[in-house]
Amino acid sequence: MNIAFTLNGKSVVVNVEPEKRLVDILRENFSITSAKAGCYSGECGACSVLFDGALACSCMLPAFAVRGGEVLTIEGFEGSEEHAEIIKAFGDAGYRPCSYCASARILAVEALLRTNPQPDEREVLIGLSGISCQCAGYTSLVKAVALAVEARKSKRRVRRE
Amino acid sequence: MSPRDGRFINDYYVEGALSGIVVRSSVENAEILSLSYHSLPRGVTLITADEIPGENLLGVGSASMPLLADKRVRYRGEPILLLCGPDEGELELFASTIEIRFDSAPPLSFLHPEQEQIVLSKEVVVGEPQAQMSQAFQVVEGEYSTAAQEHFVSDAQGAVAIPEEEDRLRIYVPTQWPFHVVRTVARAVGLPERSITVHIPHMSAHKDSRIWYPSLVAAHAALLARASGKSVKLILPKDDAIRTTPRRAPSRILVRTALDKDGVPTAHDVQVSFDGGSYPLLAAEILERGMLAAAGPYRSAHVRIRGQVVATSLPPTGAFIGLGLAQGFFAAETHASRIAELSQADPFTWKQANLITRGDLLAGFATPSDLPPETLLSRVAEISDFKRKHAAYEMLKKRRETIEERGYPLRGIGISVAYQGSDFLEHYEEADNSSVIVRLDADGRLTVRTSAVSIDGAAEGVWKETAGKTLGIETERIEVLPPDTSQSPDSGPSTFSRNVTVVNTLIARACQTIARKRFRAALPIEVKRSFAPARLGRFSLDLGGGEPFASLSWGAAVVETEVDAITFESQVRGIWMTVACGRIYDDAAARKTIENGIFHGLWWCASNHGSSREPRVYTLPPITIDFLDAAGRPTPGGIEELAGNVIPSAYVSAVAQATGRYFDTLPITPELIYHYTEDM
Amino acid sequence: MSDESRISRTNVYTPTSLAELLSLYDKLPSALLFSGGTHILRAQRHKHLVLPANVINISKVQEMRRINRTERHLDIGAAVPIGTILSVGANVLPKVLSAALAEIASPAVRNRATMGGNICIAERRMSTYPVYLLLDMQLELRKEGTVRWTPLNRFAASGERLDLGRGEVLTRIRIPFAAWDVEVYRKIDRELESPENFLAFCGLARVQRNVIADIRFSFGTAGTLILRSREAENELIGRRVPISDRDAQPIFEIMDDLTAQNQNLLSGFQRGRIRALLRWFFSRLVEE
Repeated sequence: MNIAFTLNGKSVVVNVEPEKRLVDILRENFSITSAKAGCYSGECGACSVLFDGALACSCMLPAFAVRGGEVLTIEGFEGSEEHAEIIKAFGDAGYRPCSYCASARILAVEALLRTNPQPDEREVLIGLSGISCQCAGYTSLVKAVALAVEARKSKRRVRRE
Repeated sequence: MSPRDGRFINDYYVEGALSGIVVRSSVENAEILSLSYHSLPRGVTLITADEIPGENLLGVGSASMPLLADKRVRYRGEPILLLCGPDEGELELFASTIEIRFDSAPPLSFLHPEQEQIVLSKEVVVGEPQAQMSQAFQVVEGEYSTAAQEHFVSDAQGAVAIPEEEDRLRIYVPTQWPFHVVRTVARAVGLPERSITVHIPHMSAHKDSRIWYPSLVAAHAALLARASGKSVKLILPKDDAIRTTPRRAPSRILVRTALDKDGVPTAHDVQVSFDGGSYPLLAAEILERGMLAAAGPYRSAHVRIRGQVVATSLPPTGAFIGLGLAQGFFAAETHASRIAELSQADPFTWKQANLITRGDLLAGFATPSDLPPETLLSRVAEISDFKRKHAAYEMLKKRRETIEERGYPLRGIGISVAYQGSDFLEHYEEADNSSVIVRLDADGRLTVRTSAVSIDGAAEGVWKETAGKTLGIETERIEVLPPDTSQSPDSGPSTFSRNVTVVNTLIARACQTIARKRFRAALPIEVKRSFAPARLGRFSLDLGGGEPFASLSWGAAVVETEVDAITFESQVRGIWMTVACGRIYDDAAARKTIENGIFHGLWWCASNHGSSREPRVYTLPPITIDFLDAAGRPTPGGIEELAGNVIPSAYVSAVAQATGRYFDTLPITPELIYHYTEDM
Repeated sequence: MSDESRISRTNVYTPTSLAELLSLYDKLPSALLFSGGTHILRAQRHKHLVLPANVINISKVQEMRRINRTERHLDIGAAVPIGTILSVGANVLPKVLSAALAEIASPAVRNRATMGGNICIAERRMSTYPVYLLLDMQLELRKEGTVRWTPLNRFAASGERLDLGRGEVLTRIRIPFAAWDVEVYRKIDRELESPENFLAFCGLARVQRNVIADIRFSFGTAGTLILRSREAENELIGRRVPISDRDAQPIFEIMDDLTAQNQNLLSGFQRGRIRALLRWFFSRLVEE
């Protein structure tokens, strides 16, 4: 089955079985290993990507459901201002997820801030709750997101001025 | 933190590699009657115990387990046969058609074991505990039990085995003990150890789940690679990994403490029993630590400690974080809080008064070189406002008549203190000659070679700083080569604490030697330093002598909880910890380690038995971590086990105060709280 | 494993209109209807998915992706993701519905899972069910040439068998608007991960001059057991708040009878929690 979709801003076509999961398409057909194949059941969140702008587990997307969609992995997000802001906020807050789940967490923060520009502590914890890697602390996560929120607010302020 | 920082085992895609899968037992404790399948699909290789060319054995010290079950299975999930082929999906389908018939026997009981299930027992007597018991003003007795805790490891348990020319095998496997993999694989496939090279991919936080288990996975991949003649990638499905990775050993501990008329303990009589699971590979290590911890961190000149490990039908139990210390301290500290309550003292005051100080024996053994700082408990009590809250909640507890009585929240607070030790207690022949090699080149660059694995670079930073300081070299000019058994010397099993104590000391010594030689000898200078077995041998639990651990880190915790009268869940309202661990190299990393330990400890406290679901945290209790001044101790100590050693008993004491009921078991599920408070 | 293996390839159909879907489903009534697929995929924890021979991907059916609001009700297309419902309906959805939807799985799963899928899980009632039930949810069911509306409780009346005919599709969900003074929702544990401890509770009440004008409450438990007693609700209407112990007593008795009838499905602990939840709901009636 030929599946055409947008991957990190580029149109791509891939010939795969319709039931092949997006996470394996990314890893095996495009050598994008930042999306980790973990539980294959939407529980660990290590395979998180943005699909049509919203956070999604790429293990829960069979190829046929990806057709015509827009997939953004960390490789496509890197280089953007938003990515730089999140990385800076992580660093400033001392929030250091391991490299296994880092891309999922960065994308989850981005997805959260897109729908909720000023999340409170509970909303941050819920927003990131789909990523179950136990590597990083929660206190610094909450702090990191607060810093990212501040960075975006001041950027908007500068733009308005 | 870039996701491209390193490749994890599942990120290795080897050209032409076959996929491997493990077919496991669906029952526990059974004889395998027959194994049948239709003809093998094309290109598929199948291996049972009979087809293992070498030894069907994985050993740690004197204990061992088979690589594949031979005629008998001892736990649900035990590997029975291996398959590899070009298409994993087809393999899964084929595997589902394999029929294995069993003759099942009942599972082996932990609480009521038969004599032959006792695989190890130890006893140590120091002083005159019996005489002290008989003269005691009061004897307080308690029984404490803890359930298993499963590992939740993010990245896959797996291995890639690549056959190479001249009968060599290259293995990629995330392991904490690379040379254990070499030995296990060599023995399994019947090749000399020099034919096996092990490389370590990136790994995520692992809670010591990768000490010996990866050797099993690597041996499976290697057997398939040798049989098929092709590279094999074996990645365990998440559920299999959780189900079969060595879990924290369940425990049952009886503690009797003799008190004089002032409530001061004069003797301890402790009986420790661990469920070692089906193959108790680290039994001695877990048992000795559990026995030491169960005697408590309080002064004790007269001690009897008896311990045993029971083989059961659980999947193998293993190191987890703490190797038995956490279970022991849970018993000792819950017991100490109980004594305080019976003596009408607040637990802080009692614990502060009796905590080990200079000149005291620790569980009957030598005074440790690293004593708890005097402020360890007082500081944690101060920042948590422990005394006032404890008194207030005592009042509430006494006033309350029914659990749902409005206006009286069900709150409690608990305090606890414990240590963590460095390195292993037991001698493992395989670990005795731990070495590192350091080389200073003519261009002033320093290279460190060790097979010790620094997860997420945490220990590597410490090593570089040690080497840099000793030799006056900038850390940018120091390289720690990735562990690779063809290049690195055998540095034994890696844990964070062993890395920053044993391995760090070896690096420091090698660097000191280089410092002495550098102006006399021509560069490059290469120095190898090894851990002398004699140094490991000074402690003997059986003979009751010596100082158990080369260094100790200390921690104290206060946990405050509120029990929800509707759901019977216990919500943590605040956590405070003081930590004395010597030099901190990286404050943020240390805080992260402690905080992770706190959540991991809480998960053990509150999750359902055997739950493999990781906890979700939606509300964050305020967490305060205070690292006590380490001026007196410039060397670093391990901290990864501390929270797990102190949080559980503080939590249980808090729930006990909140509900007015006596809890002595982990986990405390909402159902347990409900049943304990039903009659309120 | 089923015979629809990787060898017999799966055919996927992706209709874009309702008419196209109904005609297709009429011809392939055994096809799997797939929208977010979260429940189907969750059950397959291995790398290789096994899907039946025919799959109809309904996520592109325009009519089923819409949310409409009138003065009297909210209409939600069965294929609208729950994440979308939550963000679009933030100010429109009944409070209890928002609360229940927001507690489903994780954000990534909510972005794919749909309300239609949530309702059409046959083997168990999900955590949202008590809320759907008390809000008098109506379902639009269509098949080629026919359309019918049915209340949720009739749709899911017979245990694990849903009232769905051959070739029939749940297309739209209607939620009537009603004003409640007290709206509470509470979910304890997760239905798929620890079913034995799972409970969902929804309570709604209208209170006028300290008198209960209308009240409903329902408990969802593991499996298909839903607890609701019209008798208990009727007993409470007309009573004064705060509810006195005397007024509460018969209600506890009715609920205890009801839970006792289902002893095989509810542990003593769960029954204790049900009593505690009810007591909590009564206490909330005071506060409003």
